[in-house]
This record gives sequence, structure tokens and C-alpha cells, in this order.
Amino acid sequence: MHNLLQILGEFFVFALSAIFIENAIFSRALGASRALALAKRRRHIGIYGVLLTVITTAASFISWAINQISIDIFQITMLEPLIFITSIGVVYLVAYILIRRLWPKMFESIGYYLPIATFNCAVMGGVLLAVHQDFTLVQTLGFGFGTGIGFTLATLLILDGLDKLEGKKIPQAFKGLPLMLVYIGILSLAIYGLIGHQLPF
Amino acid sequence: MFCSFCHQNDNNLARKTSFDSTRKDAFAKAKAMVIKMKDSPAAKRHSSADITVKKISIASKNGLLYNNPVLVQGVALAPAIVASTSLQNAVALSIALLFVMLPTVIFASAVKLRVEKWLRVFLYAFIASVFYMPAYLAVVSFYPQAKFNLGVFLPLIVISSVIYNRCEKCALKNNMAVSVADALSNILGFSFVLCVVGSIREIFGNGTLWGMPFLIIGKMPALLLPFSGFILIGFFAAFVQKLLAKNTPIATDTKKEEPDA
Repeated sequence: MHNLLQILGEFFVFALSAIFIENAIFSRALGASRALALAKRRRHIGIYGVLLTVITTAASFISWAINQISIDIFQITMLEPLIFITSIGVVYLVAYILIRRLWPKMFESIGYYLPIATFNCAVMGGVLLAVHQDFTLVQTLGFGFGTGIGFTLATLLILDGLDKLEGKKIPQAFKGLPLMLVYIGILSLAIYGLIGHQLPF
Repeated sequence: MFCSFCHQNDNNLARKTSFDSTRKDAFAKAKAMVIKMKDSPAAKRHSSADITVKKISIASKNGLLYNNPVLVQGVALAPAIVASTSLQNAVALSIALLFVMLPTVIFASAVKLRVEKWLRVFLYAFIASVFYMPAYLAVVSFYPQAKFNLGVFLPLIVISSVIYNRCEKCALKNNMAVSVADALSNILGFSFVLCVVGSIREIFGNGTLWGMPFLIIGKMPALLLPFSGFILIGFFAAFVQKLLAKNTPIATDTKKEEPDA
């Protein structure tokens, strides 16, 4: 019982740090372009976030397992993306087939978002960071889970800014993308103030 | 001889021939001639080649400024914002993108819609990650510290959204020459932005350029942090938007093209 609590505690500590301190978008800009594009389609942020969280967690588990089996592969930096893309691809394939077979109705709404939620900088960045920092299984799962949730929350925050930053007082040159980038930059500065040092990447 | 494709000299021809026959006849003759020339295989080849050349010339200019991947489309932001802390990093990322993106775009324009979307997206990433190997070797050959200075951002170039966007939006609809021109112009636009931002951040943040001491006015290490990357790129994007607002016709077209979610 005590052990279980400890494991749960570790999981949530890493998830919380991935959500707030090492937020995928605000501290490393992972998946920033997708988040900016997604904020315009406000209805689908929820679906996208759930898919991204599930896939990141599963993919980080698989890459952790590969890392345990043969640590030598990761010494060859050249092969890194190939291994990660393959492991993410396996998760993607399983998710695709499962959703298509089990919930065909849900598939109609999800089908469009599944590929772009999978092949995303936030997913692969979370997996890569977990392997680079030699996390244990619980830490890896927590980090992957937190990356997905953090991405979703950050997108919601960007959506909030998108609504407020549409006025006549804004200069024409800054409308749209430039102002959103400056807005994310200021949020990122605030989060940097919370951490106080540059994160490893 | 008038051009049968643009119809601009139709009226002139009619005026000339009206001396020996009525106007109606002249128009009928001209029309018949146009139809005849349009049907001939040589003319068809001529026109399609013309369109391709035009498309190539548009595509090769577009990515540089009007539809710059980072500043206008807003894709490939992760390497542009966090990893562009020095000129060396910028050049390394650009070379990696060149090696990785070209084969992917060629593949996309070769298969077109024959492969379904769910598999296609995986194949883009897979092909890019296969071609990451020569890219990594090329980068390391001139910049051995790339692995430590770029961290996860060098492998992440493989699933950068600029590749996905260009494959889905341009390569699927056009032939190989157009899509390669488009990809090259996008890579050039990306590397231009990265080099400018990278050198500014290196000079003022670290007091060096390409690793050598350069123009030390006073260091501002905050420039090396991600948030300053966001703000710098934001200001550059605003500058480009201001620039494009003056030459409206192309700018309005490209602004409407939003990146796919």
C-alpha cells in the first residue's frame, strides 16, 4: 500500500512538472504551430487533447521498453528518429484499427484528427525528452501523460488569448499570428520566472 | 500570327480580314483557327509546359517572403524559436531540413492520392526519418557539437509541420518539378529566418558569431531563452505582415491560406 502511494506520488509529480513547469509549448515550443492552428478550430481541442495524451503515454511506454531491451541502439544518434517514429507508428496503427473496429461512429469524428495528433512535435518531443533524461517507467508514463495534458491546457490558454486579442486598437501589422507569438512569448516569460533557469533540451 | 491561348489579338485579326469579307466570316474563320490550334497536340504540350513554368516561378518565390513557412504560415515554430540561438545551430537545422524534406516531397508528389491519408502521414514521417541519417552525418561533419547544442530539436525536424503542410498542400496537387521548387523555396525561407534570428541572438546574447568573439557591446543572456525567441519571431512576423500589406494582391491570397490543424 505504501509502495503504491509512493508510485502514484511519483507519477503525479512528474505529470505536474510536465504540465506546468516543463510545459510543451511555453517552455520548449513543442507543437506550437499545431496549437496555433488548432486554437482556430475551438470545438475540437478536447478530442485532439485526449488523443494526444493517450498516444504520448502509450508511445513513451513503448520507447521506454525499447530503451530497456537494448540501450546500445540509442548510442547511435542517427537511428533515433527512425526508432521513435516506428514506435509511435505502432501505437498509431493499433489506435486506428481499434477505434475503427470498436467505435465506428466515433471514428467519423476522430478520423481526421488521429494522424495529425500522432505525428506531432509534442508527442515525439515528450518521448525523446523522457528517453534522453533516463526516466524510470513511472516517471516516463507521468511525463508523457503530463505532456499531453499540458499541451491541451496551453492550447486552451492560447484560445483565450485569441478571443481577447481581437480589437480595433491592435495595429494592422500585428493582427493574427505575430500578436499570438508575442502573447505566447509573454506567457513563456512568466513560466520562466517560475522555473528560474533554462531547461535541458 | 496571334496567340491562340490568350485571345488578345482576336479583334486585330478580324479588322484586317474584314477588307475582303464580312466581319462575321472573319470571326468564324478566326474561331475555327483557334479551335484547330487548340486541338493540335503541339499546342497542348506548349500550353501545359507554359503553365508548369509559370507555376514553378510562382512556387519558387512564394516560400521566401509571401508565404514564408515560419513568419506567415506559422509552421516549424519549435526549431525556429527554441533552437535558433546561434548561427551554427541555424545552419545545421536548415541543412537537416534540406536533406529530410526533399525526398519526402518527391515521394508525396510521386504517390499523390494513391495512398490513403492515414497511411500517407505515417509514410512522410518514416521517409523523413530514414533520410535523417545522411542529414545527421552532414551536420556533424561541420558542427560536431550539434548533438549537445540542438538536443531534441535536431531529430524533431523529422516531423516538423512544414514537411506535412507542403506535402499535403502542394505536392499532392502538383507535379514533381513544381513541388520540388516549392519545397526548395520553403527551405530557403526557413533557413533565412533562422539565420537572421540566430545571428541576432548569438551576437547580442552571447557576444559571438559562428563561435568567434564578435561585436561585444554587452551580453543579454535573456535573448537565448525560448520566450525571447517567441517575441523576436513575433516582431519579425509583424514586420513581414506590414511589408505585405503594401503589396496587397499576393499578400491577401497567401494570408488566407491557414495551416492545417
